Amino acid sequence: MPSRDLTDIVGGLLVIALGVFAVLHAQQYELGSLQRMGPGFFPTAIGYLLIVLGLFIALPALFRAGPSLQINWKGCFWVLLSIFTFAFTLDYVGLPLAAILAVIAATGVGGLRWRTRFILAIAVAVIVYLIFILGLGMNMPVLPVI
Amino acid sequence: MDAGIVDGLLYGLHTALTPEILLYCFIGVFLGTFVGVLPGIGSLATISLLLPVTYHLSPVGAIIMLAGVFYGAQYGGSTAAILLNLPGHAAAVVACLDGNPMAKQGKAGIALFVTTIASFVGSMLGLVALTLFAPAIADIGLKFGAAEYFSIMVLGLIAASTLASGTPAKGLAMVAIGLLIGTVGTDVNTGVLRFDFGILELSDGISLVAMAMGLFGIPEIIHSLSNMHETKTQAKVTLRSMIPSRSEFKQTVTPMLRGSGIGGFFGSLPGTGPSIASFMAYAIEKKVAKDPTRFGKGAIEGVTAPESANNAAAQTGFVPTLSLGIPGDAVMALMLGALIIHGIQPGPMLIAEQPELFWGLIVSFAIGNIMLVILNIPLISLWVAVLRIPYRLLYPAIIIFVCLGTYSVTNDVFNVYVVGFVGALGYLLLVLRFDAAPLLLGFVLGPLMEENLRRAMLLSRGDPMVFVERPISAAFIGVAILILAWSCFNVLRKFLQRKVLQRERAHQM
Repeated sequence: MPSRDLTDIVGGLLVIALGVFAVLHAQQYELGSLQRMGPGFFPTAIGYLLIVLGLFIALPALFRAGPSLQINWKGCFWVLLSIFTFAFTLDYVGLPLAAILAVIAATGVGGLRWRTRFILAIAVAVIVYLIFILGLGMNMPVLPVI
Repeated sequence: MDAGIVDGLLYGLHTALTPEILLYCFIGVFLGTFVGVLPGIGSLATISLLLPVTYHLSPVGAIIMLAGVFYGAQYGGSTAAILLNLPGHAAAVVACLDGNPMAKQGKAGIALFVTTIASFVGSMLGLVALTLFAPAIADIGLKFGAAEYFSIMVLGLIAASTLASGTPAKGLAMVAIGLLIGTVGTDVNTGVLRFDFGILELSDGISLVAMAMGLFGIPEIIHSLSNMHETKTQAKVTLRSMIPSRSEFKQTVTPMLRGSGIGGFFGSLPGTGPSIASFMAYAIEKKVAKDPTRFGKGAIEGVTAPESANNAAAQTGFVPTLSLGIPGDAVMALMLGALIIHGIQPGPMLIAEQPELFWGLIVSFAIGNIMLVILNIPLISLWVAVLRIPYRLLYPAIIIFVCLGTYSVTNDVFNVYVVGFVGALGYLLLVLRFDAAPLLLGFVLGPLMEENLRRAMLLSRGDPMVFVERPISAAFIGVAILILAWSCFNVLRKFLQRKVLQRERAHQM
């Protein structure tokens, strides 16, 4: 176990950073007065609050031990790739193909043979087509744009 | 506008007993149980997935279906917990403690039967509380002004954030970030576009569905992928004798009643929900038991009381939402979101202005629970079979469902991109051990809070003391400060305990 609570230090710093960002970005919006709050009032106030809270999170963490950071980088990568693949391709290739691509991307994490991945991708595409297009009648591109 | 409870119930029966509404109720509770059984995807994710689907339904049908998912999940969550030591969601964790040992002793059938009955009893008693108290609280709520609304939201957010896992500072930071994200979009008062970074699609703010899926669904999937390769022991379930013996049955009656009471109470408070209710019920049951050492080894009270509690809490969770328009937790926030989407203004006027919604809901909750009892007992073997599907085949489908669900909100892939980004953020939060639920709550309440704050300040001509000068508002602020102080005290106490332990260890060396 590391001697400092890494998770909270990083967390606290990020919270502070977000607070600073909020205060700086909200400067372009009018602050207004207490009686007539402008658009900038609430975000600025929250920004300052975040800075204070971030200090409360990060400072005590410097003096106590905590669990080490465990990130599933592989899982993160493939799941996000799957989502962005779907988003990117849907309008171009239609629902079934986008689903197939996204499933293949998602299963990039490993543990499945290529053949299984293809079969799963097609199965999911079919199920999703049945439920969302035929069953719920949703309006979305289904065929590739040629 | 006191229609009387009997009148209301008759009205509700009229609304709820249409084939259309019954179908939505059934779909809701069936999906809810299914999702509650499945580990890794909970009622929160499912409800946000269903939100776009409910756009096409009537408001009553929409809420009934979503609510069905919610309390249905409370029935299903314990099934996986008992059979596989895998809770379907947070509130079912307690069911693992005594339910799994019972399964290992060959009493799985009894445990499953008893939890279904306990869930039903808890739900019905919670429903009675909802029926009796919601209208009364709504009457009090009518006296609320902007200051009171602001204060009660502050109370709700502070309660939710400090009772969440992790230190209060982290919970509050989550709430604050949620409030901040809620400001993205057009400021209602001035028409100014905030935090939109020039992106047109952000002028309406970030979609609730995308936030909910990204914060809860996606990180859960990523996280589960790291544990996927661990072998799960498949418990053999002989369901030959599901009926408990008479003595065992007698042991369950008072825990059910106690659990229901505890659950009903905690469920109605803002910031607490079924999970906390079930933990409290377990703790109290253990304290009250004649032989506490039986707990953790298959004590039947340890399974029934928490089940009654979480179901009762699921019902009474609707009290603040329906009577005041204040969500008690993330799921209620989504329900509120659904109401707003259908053009219904939540608040104390809801019960008076939309009696068919309120009473229709009440009656369909009752019908839904009856459906659930009928569903659960024979379908237990179905759930067992479902749990056998390897997760590695399931999660790609879940991802596609998430993408499609968010796409359908605006028929625009922009929202799918948003889910991706929010999902990354959500996973970061998971890794850094932040609880995302207060964030969602802050996100939903943020715009409401800001509006009430502005109005209160306008009416008081810029005097911030208005929040403590008005008595109801002062009471809420007072309780909020108490909760805050208590949690700070707790943090201090833990810190001192650790210091004492360190000193002792140093002495021993």
